[in-house]
Amino acid sequence: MNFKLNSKPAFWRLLLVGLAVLVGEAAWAAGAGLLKVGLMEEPKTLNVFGAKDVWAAKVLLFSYQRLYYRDPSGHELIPWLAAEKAVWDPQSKSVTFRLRDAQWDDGTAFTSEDVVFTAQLITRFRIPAYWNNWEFVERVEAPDPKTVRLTLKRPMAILWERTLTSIVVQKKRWKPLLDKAEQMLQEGVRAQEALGKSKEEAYRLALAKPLEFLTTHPVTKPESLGPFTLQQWQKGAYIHMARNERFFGLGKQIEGQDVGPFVEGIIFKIYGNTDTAVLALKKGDIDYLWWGIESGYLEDLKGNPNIRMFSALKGGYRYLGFNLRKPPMSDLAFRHAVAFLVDKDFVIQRILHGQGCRLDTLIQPDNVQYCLGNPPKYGQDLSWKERVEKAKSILKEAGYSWEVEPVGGNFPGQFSVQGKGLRLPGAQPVGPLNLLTPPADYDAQRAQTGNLIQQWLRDFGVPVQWRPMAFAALSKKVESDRDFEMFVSGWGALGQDPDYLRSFFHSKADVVGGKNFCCYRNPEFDRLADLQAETMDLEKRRELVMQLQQLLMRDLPYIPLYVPMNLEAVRTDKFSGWVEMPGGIGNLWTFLKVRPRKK
Amino acid sequence: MNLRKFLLVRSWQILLTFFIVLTLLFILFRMAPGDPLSTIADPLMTQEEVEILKAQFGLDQPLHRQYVLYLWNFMKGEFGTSFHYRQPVVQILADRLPKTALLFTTVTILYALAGISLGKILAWKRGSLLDTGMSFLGLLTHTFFLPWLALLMIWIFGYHLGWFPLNGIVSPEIWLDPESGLFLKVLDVLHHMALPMAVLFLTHFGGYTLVMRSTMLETLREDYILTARAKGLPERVIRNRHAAPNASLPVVTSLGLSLAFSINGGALTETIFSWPGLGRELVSSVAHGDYPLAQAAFLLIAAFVLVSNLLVDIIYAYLDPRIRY
Repeated sequence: MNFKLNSKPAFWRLLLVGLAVLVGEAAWAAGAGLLKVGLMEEPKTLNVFGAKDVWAAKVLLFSYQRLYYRDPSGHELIPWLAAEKAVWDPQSKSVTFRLRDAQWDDGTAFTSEDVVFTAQLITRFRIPAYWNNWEFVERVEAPDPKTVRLTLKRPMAILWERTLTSIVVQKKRWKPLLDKAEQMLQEGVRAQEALGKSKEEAYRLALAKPLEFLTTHPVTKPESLGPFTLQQWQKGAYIHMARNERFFGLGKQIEGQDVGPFVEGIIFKIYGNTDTAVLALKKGDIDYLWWGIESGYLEDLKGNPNIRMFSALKGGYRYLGFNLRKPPMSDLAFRHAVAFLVDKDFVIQRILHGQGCRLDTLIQPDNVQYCLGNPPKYGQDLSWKERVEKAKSILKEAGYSWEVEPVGGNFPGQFSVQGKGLRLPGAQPVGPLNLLTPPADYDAQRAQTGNLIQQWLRDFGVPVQWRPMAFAALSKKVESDRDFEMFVSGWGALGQDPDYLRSFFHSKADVVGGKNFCCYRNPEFDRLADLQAETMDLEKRRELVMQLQQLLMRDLPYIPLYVPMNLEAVRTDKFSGWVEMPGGIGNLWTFLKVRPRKK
Repeated sequence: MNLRKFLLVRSWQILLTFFIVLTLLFILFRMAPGDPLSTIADPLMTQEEVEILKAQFGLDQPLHRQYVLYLWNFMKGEFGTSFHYRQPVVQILADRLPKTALLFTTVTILYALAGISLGKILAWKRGSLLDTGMSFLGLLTHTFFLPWLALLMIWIFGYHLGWFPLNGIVSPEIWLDPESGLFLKVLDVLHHMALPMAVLFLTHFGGYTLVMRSTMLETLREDYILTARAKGLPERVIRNRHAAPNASLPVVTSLGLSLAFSINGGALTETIFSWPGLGRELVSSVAHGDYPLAQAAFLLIAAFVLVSNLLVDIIYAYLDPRIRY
């Protein structure tokens, strides 16, 4: 009797452990030699023209390759599918280059026809997110199977950083789809013209259907020119990519770099939350978590001898934006005064716990080619008391006054006399002003930064109200309605080309749908921005971009705040060779160079 | 009212309710602040590209035209294409629904059965140590904050003891191994289900247990139970044949609705355990303004709830002879 009673739990315990061992052993045996990478979500689609999410971009990085790619330092573009540097001919407004010998994963040769076809597909159907990199290209030609010539309608400097780094798809794979889409387009155009629309209008209206067809076409196995090829996607569970034995760089040197891949393949595992993903990393279920880790996990992970942390600046930045349509934000003196009061170093220490980099211009510091070397650093070497005095003197000089004049204290944010009732030069009271931020559950750092700035400005006598709101609501207020006074927001994934400054601050972009939310209007800026966009000479363009930044940092439509750090973690016991580039170790070079550790 | 007439009336009511839900969903999503394109368009896209995207998604049309198209497509059985997945939403739902049903419907049945059985026994043994202990335990686990409990279970049983996988539905290493047979694969799925099921079971069985215990206690005070005792029927028969079926009526209603709602999964559970089900998708589609996917998911849930209500009404009449339609 006793034996029976005790044997039941023992039996179940044995069964449970047996099950765990059985499944665990099988998992261990099959998984050796594969790099296991954790993702927070799976790709939404593998149709490269339909994919708009970061997860698809990560997986597709290994299949669709680019003509030029950044070297491991991240500072220079090197030929990738191209075999040589492209040479600009200002007379014919064209660039010509040769291609490498490469094969698609199905054994088909990669030729200039693939490049021509890709350009045709993108421009004919104006594929969003790609078309802006190609719309200024008049024609793409293939004089021979290994030579490509691009002729531009007008010189455009983004050719180097965006057009030539755009992906190439396989003509063989996409041609039947393009033909069908073309048929839809023709039918649509005829139908629209029959309704009396002009040729361009009919074309524009007829685009939706073929575009929908192209971007929703199910792609279960993307064609690959890259180091890995997709083997299996078990929806909701994992993605398996195997080494592409036909990859053009396999075992070779490209531009002085040893190229693998040295691993058999990659398994992407999907984790819905950081807590579990970090546990998986600690347990050894994954070798690399391809997602930024919050600083709260740092201490825990640092203590683990098998885990190494990497930190790099994120690809984007945070800023305080002003609505220049409304007083007092329309007054340069007010914006300058605010710039002196915003203590960025304090924000980085207190809110980002040191995991960020001060930003004093509107191009990231790791963009060494274009970042302004010595921008004005408002208040950097001043004590808090001096900052307050400086801000006061700027406003007083511009004719502002207070009911109660503020006096700064000894510590950042401290006031020995709190200011009250700031008045405009005409003695009208300022405000009330709203300072919009996303909510803490969307981005705690931005929300807390907004709160801090509110406190500083209030104590200075500016009636500011911090208003965190859902990101969608904030976007609507700022981008569509333009109904705001100040906001803390950010840009991400800006890339290396600085032409985004033109999109954000050119007066032509101050329209609904445009990105000049602040209503910055400066004819000199517009002229320089247009000029840099057309300057193909990189040195000359660099000088123009520096001038643009100087103008922006003088006029301060945005006060740049900080660039957050991207903290990433890997296991060091099984693989080595992670490559640090701007943005982090999640780059193509890492997967080309990482190799199993020798036992 | 006979059953046929009742069914006819209820079917009309269901259709009307469904139409109202259909319309409300359309209005609510359009009233929500923000632009669905804001999560799709990247900062480098030109204004013209955003306009092309808008036209492609049909968002350039006036609202009334979008509504008519929405109704017309619904009549044709088309729910549109997800803005984010670029796939017909029916395909996405068809992929997610079985996974949610596998986990949530299974565990719902398990905790309901356990709750009913346990509640019955506790009421029968009211005042005993078992009753006090289990009632307290049921109440305690029912009040657990699910994400906390889930992470705790993962930490103990997944990370420290290593008995169960941390998350997911399958292990790629097993499913990629050509030598793994069906048995091992099934075992692997069950292995992955264990932790989320344990968490859901712990947080839900207490509710059913306490409701069943309470209704059972009321039933035991009924005259017909006294009569059964007077007739000298065995205790087990009185408990299981006479008291329990009557006491379980409110629980059946609750179970019907729970089963219907089980298809929406639990966003928290699915997120923490990376379970690729409908609940996580529902939250994500709402957050990203993926109207077609969110609308279709909500409509599916509404349809399940409405039909389950009808079924519960019918079952109710079957279980309780006093109820006639």
